[in-house]
Amino acid sequence: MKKQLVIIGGGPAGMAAAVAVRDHGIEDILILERAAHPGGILRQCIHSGFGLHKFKEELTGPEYAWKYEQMIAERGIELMTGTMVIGLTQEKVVTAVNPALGVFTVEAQAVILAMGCRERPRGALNIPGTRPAGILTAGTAQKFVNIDGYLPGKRVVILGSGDIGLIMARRMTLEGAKVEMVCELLPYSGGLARNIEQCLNDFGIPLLLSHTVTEIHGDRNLQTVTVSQVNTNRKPIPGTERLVECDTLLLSVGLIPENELTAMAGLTLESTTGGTAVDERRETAIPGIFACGNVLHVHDLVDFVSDEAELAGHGAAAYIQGKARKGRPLIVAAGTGVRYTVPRHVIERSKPVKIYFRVTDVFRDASVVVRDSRAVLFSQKKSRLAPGEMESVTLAPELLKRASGDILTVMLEVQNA
Amino acid sequence: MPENAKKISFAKCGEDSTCGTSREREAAYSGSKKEMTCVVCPTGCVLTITLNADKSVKSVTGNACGRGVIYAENECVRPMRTLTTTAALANGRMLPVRTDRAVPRDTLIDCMREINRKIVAPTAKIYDIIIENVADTGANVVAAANGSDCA
Ligand SMILES: Cc1cc2nc3c(=O)[nH]c(=O)nc-3n(C[C@H](O)[C@H](O)[C@H](O)COP(=O)(O)OP(=O)(O)OC[C@H]3O[C@@H](n4cnc5c(N)ncnc54)[C@H](O)[C@@H]3O)c2cc1C
Ligand code: SF4
Repeated sequence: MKKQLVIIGGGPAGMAAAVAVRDHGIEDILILERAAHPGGILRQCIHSGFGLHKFKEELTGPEYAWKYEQMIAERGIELMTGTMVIGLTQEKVVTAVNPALGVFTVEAQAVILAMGCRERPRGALNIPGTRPAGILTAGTAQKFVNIDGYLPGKRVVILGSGDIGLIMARRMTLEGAKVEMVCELLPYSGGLARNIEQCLNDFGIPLLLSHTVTEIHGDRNLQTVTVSQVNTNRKPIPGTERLVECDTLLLSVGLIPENELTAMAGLTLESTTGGTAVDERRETAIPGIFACGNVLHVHDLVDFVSDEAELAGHGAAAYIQGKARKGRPLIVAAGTGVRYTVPRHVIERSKPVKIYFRVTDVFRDASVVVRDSRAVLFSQKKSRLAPGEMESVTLAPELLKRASGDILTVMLEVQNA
Repeated sequence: MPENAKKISFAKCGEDSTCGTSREREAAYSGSKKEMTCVVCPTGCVLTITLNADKSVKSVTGNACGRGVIYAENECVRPMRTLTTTAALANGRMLPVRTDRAVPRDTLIDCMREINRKIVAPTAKIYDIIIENVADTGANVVAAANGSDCA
């Protein structure tokens, strides 16, 4: 099979990219999705908070996905569900498998990677103790409750205060479970402030910052966990241990972009994002292979996933149409207080470029500064910055053209740290 | 330690039924001012509210848009929330549903009870009304997906 464009993953990123590419006149598009339905992680995110930027209304995850499913259907874009992609080469040969066709290959002119991310499994955490039933990731619990209709337990401790953990604290409470506490290793929560308010404070669920689960107890089923306070080096403080009775421990300890296929194609993965480096149109180091959404870096808001997917879509369409780009790449580096930037380099300097970044810590009254080798080119004050909330700065073409040298650094300047 | 971290740690439930709304933050202010996070959208603006003597809202600052003011006013009288949950389909699958407007936060559990008693036809379409006037709140519960897509 031959296709102008193959999109791997039919989540919000894959669908928005497909729509953008189609709207640029490319017709020969194929989306490959491993699940039985498109929509990705949104299918299980039944809470609202999606679409405020994109559609100016507050939608639930399934409603947001539905908007894009309709756009795909209206445009007659080919979507193959129940199809898992198992291989990708540098030459853009995609190998996939499904029950109807068996193993098959597609030669693509361009590929968009939109595989999303998956949860960090418990193994990565190394909590001592027994291995009873009742320990699962927050996303798995979300799938059990929202898709399958099972409540995994009645007394719950949640480890990790990322958004999934917070959302699940409320969800399990509404379904009749008692959520004893949410423990967070760091001195601040990685979740959105609104989720701390409406998922924890609304139900009086305590958030224990600088606390972690240090031991798991129970033979067949989980019975108790030991919770300890940690010091500034994140090491448990002896004497602070307490036992908490529970039958369920939910782990909400981060997401990892699903990049096996990316690596298979020979692209390198960054340690900061878990994704590969891209330029402003989300093109990877292999010309014609693009990436967008959670596979590139973990997004908190699906609206930004859709925006990014549109950039990748425009890029892929331009690539297929053979529109050449000129210019020396301008590297966008992460400086003091900044963990990473996306994109990592800019080629086309004639259009504004939005640089997304995450900060390393919670900062108050800091300035986001962009500088080249000689001077500060841009500075903007922010009253509050937190690692859980993705930030961005938009660089105007004048600034990009004015930059001297090959490197721009995005960094923070803190007044009173 | 960042100062806001202190504020949000150990948020504890109060004795009354309307627990929540950052007790500690409220306590940090004298009677005439409070601070709260607007939950209407993911921006999560930190609102500072000045109260009149009768506890009604005098002014709000820190809001990036008008909805923040309405939120603050409700929050000081009767907090309102949109409920999202699932309802069972007759074929054993789960249908995502939500209230079509915010309901008083203290009615959430009553709404849940009513929704959890409901069995919905698998032919339900997105935005079909599943329950009218749920728990006497004036809000309807609507489907947030097509029943046929909930396999
Ligand atoms: C619990 C939770 C709560 C969230 N809350 C909010 C919120 O309130 N507001 C908000 O705006 N955003 C929220 N988000 C974020 C938002 O949902 C995500 O950013 C968005 O879904 C990411 O889209 P994606 O398309 O990149 O990835 P995904 O949605 O993960 O989609 C990836 C798709 O690729 C498919 N795939 C992967 N590998 C393969 C393969 N090899 N072959 C074929 N198909 C494959 C998967 O099956 C999946 O369908 C939340 C996310 C989570 C997990
Ligand atoms: S005030 Fe407006 S922008 Fe700020 S959180 Fe509330 S709704 Fe969002």
